[in-house]
Amino acid sequence: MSSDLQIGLSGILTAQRSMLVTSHNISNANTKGYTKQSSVLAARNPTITTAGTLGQGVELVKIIRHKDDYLNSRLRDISSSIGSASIKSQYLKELETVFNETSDSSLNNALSSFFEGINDLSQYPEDMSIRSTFLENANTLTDTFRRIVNELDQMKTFIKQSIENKLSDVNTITSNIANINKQIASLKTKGIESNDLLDKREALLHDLSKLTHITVNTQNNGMVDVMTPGGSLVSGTNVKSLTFDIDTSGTLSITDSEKMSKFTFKTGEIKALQDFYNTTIANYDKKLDTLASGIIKDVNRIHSEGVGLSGGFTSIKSINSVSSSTAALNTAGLTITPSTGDMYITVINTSTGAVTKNKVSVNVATNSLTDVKNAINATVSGTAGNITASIADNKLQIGVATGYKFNFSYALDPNPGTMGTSTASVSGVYSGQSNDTYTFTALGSGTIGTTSGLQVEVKNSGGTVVATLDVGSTYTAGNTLNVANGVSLSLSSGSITTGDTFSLNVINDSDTTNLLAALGINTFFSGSDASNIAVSTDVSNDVSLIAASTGEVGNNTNALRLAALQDDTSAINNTTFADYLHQIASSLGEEASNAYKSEESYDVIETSLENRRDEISGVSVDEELVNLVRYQQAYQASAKYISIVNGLMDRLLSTLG
Amino acid sequence: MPFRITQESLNRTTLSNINLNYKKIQGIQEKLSSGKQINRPSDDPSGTRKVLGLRAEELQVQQFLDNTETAKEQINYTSNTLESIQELFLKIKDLAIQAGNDTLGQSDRNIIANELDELLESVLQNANTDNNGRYIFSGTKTLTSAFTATRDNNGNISSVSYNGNNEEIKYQIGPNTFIQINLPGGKLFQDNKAFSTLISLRDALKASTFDSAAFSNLRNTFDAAANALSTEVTKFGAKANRLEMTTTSLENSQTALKELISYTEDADVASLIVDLQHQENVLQSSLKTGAMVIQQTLLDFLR
Repeated sequence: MSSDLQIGLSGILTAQRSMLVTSHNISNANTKGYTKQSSVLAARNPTITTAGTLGQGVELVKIIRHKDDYLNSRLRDISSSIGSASIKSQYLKELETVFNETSDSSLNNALSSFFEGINDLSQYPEDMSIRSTFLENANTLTDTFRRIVNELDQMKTFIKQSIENKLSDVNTITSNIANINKQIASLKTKGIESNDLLDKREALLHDLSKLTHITVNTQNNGMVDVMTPGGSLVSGTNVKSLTFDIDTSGTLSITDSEKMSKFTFKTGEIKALQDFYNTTIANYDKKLDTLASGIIKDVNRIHSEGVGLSGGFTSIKSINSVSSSTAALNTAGLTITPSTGDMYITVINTSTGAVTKNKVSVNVATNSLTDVKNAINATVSGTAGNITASIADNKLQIGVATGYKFNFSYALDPNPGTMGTSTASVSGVYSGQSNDTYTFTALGSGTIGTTSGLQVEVKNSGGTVVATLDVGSTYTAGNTLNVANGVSLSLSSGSITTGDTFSLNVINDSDTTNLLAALGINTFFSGSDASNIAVSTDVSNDVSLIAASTGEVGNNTNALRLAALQDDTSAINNTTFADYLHQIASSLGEEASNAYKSEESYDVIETSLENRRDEISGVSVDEELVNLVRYQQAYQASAKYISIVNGLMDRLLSTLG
Repeated sequence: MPFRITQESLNRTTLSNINLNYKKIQGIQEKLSSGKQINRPSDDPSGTRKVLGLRAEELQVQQFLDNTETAKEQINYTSNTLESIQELFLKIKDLAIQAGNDTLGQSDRNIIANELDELLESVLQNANTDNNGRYIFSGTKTLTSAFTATRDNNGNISSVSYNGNNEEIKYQIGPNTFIQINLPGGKLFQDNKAFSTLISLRDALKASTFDSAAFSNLRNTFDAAANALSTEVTKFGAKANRLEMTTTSLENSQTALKELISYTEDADVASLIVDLQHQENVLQSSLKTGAMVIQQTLLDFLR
């Protein structure tokens, strides 16, 4: 009889325990990472009788976790990818706001306004208020460059902090995993499956994989090893904690806490942050620098050859210094490397207006700044007004004798000489390909404007005739004659004799060395890249120094040259400045749009993987309720059985009694 | 166990669908409220580059239009002055013809000489015209008056000298297209010959003995100078016409560019509203089915 009660009891106990498992499932229905458990029931060992085996009731043999290791590892992988993608899209969104190219405060607009200012300057080169407006436009451009660089720097600081935080998260998680490893292994030696600890560890692994991609190996003792391509983070109960390091070139790397070995991660938030810090921001920084230095170089190159309202300088000092005044100029540490060529210094007598053009030839591979100084002192001297060059603090300083001024203009000498008793006047802007010298020679003798068939021949330095001008009876003295390439000549009345000659330097580039731009003499911008671009202090203090002209106040030749820069299709990487900027905006947009899309698609994949995991491991409350009803009924049935057995016992005892 | 659906996955699916729908509606809403198809480069990277390029082009056309307007203003101002000078020259020619008549006495010639003197002063005044502070006949020396008169003890002009230069001022009115907006006085007044002849004419009339042959020569020289000026006036007047045509063509390209920008950048409101309506319907049904599905459990039916 007692075995009858035992069978009933086993039914009650098993049903009760199964209900416990079910209620544990129901209470954890919303627990993240919880794996559904279920009880495995089996018949107890039977009693052997002569009739055969007699069942001894039921027992709960095992509580199992419904898990799928493959799905869990897929979920970890996708979690790493989502970590990467979400960081990427989050920061690219921020970068888009920093560049803000479609808005009014964009670099694009600042650049347009800058060129608009130059254009207005070309309309009214003598107007001080237009010059001031242009200065403001230029300041907006340089401020915008520096603002963006500054914001990129701030982003880098923020990312660095974020990496620091996330690495400390990694360290916390890995040490927790190691702890759980220890507990699981010690339970395992006692033959106990630690279901809920396994769940806890699984959740930690999932969290860790969001930070960085990991591979997980389970050992026989139940512990897991956590590996990354750079090395293991957890092996059994040992943890390697992480930190980061920034080397001299500014590259951020993840290392162990002793900074002995570097860790390279595949995906995950930390890797994405590291890439953003090392590659993305550096890349946009570099593009900005390319644009800024291109603008500085081209604007300064043109500006340095122009002339401000005063028509020339009495003294000027370079703003950039060379590393050594005796080093060859192409190795003297100048941001813009000068090239071998000629530089023209024009000296003007302020009372007579007489102009002397002086050529200084420079070979950048052999000449140092001192050589240039000596060349200027040697070439530009004598009666035309002494020019004196000197060097202080590795900077070149040029001055001129009282009563004279000088500039670096490519304007033509308006009075290059006389021919017989006739005075030649030259006007126009030379538009030829390269600098040249035109020689004017009388082909016959006679009176200008009177003698029939009187001609003047013009040859270039190669000896080729570029023009033959009629100055005889068909010409009126003082009228301008078109020579070639934008150069015009007029001869005053007078008489000439065959062979009378004078020559004229026709220059379109008065500094083929770019030495003025490199040294920062008469330049508009100071600085060398996007982080330090600014309008030079001299120009900021005195807008009349803005070199719109090549000579007189109403001359806008140089402003037109500056304005033409906006259309220069070879300004930078074979395109215009504006288009280069548009490319930056568009490639940033492309990068951001791809990041948003991949974040979305990873989200979809994660949702479907999570749903699949739930199919196996998730808790269905309905299912649990069905189980609950089932076990309740089993309990009731077993209880009923016991009560029947009890009734039988009572009856027996009372009958016997 | 085949295909178990848990509450959690139902909730997850419902939520992610509702979120997705809201996101789409937000996208449409942003386009509708800003009126723009492209609100940031990532909305349409290649469209962004196109729009930025078109905008830059449009801005440049605007610059050319500005330049054309200023050029027109300057050229008209110069043209008006030139016309006044031309009229003065005509009067001088008439007077010179009158004065050449041998029947006139010395006193008559003196009267004409005085009239010529007045006209000379007027010509000089016109030649020194400035437009808002810029001397129009000084070449690029725009802040220097073009001509200076030297006067004798009686205050009469004895000679005139040119202070300007022969440099042209050009404005850019199109890609690689420039227009000269000034007329240097040196060339216009024939290297001062117009003035010196005028002075000689006046002095010849005042002279005690009138040399009618010499006077007639001077008259011819002056006529030549006046004709040369007329040629310049005609040439300069033609510039105004050219500028009118430039303005028209620049305005046309500006309109075309604006249309292109709008086409690429502006939101198509009609189709966006249809999209919005559609998305709203989808959202409604996802909310409704979600509400139906996530509320029910077996508990509702167990007692």
